[in-house]
Amino acid sequence: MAQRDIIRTQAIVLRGMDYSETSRIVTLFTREQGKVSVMAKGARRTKSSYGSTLQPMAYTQVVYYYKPTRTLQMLSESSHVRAFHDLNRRLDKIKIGLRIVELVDALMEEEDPQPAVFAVTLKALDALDRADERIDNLWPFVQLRIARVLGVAPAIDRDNVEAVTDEGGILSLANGGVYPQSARPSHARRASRAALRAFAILARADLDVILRMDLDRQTRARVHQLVAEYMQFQFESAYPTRSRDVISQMKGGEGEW
Amino acid sequence: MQFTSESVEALVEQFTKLPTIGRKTAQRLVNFVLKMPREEVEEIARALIAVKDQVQRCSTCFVVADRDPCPICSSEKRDRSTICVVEESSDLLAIERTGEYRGLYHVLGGVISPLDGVGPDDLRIRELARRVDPSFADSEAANVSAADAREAAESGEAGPPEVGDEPHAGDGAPAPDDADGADGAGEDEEAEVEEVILAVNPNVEGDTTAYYISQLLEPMGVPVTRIARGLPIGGDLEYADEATLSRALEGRGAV
Repeated sequence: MAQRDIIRTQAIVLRGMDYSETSRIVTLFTREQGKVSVMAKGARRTKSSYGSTLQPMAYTQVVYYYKPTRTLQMLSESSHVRAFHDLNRRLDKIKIGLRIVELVDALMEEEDPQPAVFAVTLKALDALDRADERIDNLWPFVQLRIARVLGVAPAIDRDNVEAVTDEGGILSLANGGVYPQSARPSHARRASRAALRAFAILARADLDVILRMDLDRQTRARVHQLVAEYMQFQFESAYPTRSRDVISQMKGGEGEW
Repeated sequence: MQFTSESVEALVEQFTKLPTIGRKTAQRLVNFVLKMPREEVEEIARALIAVKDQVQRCSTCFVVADRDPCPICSSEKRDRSTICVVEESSDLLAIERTGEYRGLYHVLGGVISPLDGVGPDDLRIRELARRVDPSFADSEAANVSAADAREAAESGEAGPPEVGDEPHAGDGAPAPDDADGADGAGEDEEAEVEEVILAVNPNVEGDTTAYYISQLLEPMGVPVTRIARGLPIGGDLEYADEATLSRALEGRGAV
């Protein structure tokens, strides 16, 4: 790569922090270069041309000056590719969206292109923006889909899932497999048949199926817990929990995760 | 490179503790201080100490003030039926400068920011709820008990002990500097609150905070409004981004 390039690419805004009087340092997840941090000078001015394009979860087209010797690139332009209008109008959607971008931020390395993760993230945010119901299903779906892209997909075996009885079954945190009670996989977590079937569906099914899947409150809570445990087991301390802790303070609204 | 004088070096170190001040700027500031008359340096030193000794937070609205209650909360001329909620004291000053608002304020001390780990319990949101409805404290206690019972029931399915060990930052942890104000908040409110205006910044954190407060206050039956978002005066419609323009259209008013 040349000493100094002008990069034009699509990006999802992961997070930002104020810098000096009017600037912001923004972490972008770009389609071409992976995670990149940029300096957006004057981004906090009322009349800044960046407008709302540098808010977390925004899907933008950015232009920045890239210099391989520095860790903070200079942003030149940013404009919405598609504005997620509805995503920012509902608290339940914001909560899920922020958890998604927090997860991507935590699991992605700087300047490591991951187009498949970019596609999953974009698809999830787009679905979150458009969907009206069952949006809670999106969060475990995105986690398991990113796990798959990063090489730790749950090893779901259809016969084993079918063999789980009403007495419940087991999820192995080691490989994400679902097993009947009689099995003895490592790092086992017991759960109900409904929760394990939901886990298997979330790991394998397409997004439109996920958004049609009805789960009762208890099953949903348990599936969220199982997925979180699986992700924590696979990614250890890289799995982020900061926004989860804040969202747990905000419970009483919609959703219980 | 270090200065040859230890006291100069110490002052450079102290200046670098201030936001946006790096070592070079700190050195420039120290050089300026060295050239200043002694009286002016003493004035600065006295002002710094006075800020820590004399300034306190109003126990009602939590604005930075020299006395408690602050001049705004104790003023007879203020409309006590309206509370404008702002993030910081500096936002209050910005609204006061307009001369358009005559109600009371409530300073949250920040905004909810899940990505930064800042939640409702780190802000003065409960104090706001108590100002709007003094009976909030009782209902809050009842809700906490019910939620605890529900969680205990739901966690019955969890097998291993570590499952239930997930931390909950909100469990009974009030903001450290809230203790003084929390008890008194609401007691001085004479008129019933008829409107809560949310004047938080138009960003994701501001939206999150606004929606959360709106949901929290909804059962109290008090109208919650938010200051308009959209185009700045002198701005150019052509260069506005879609989200800003969309909000501007949404918040349009009669000419």
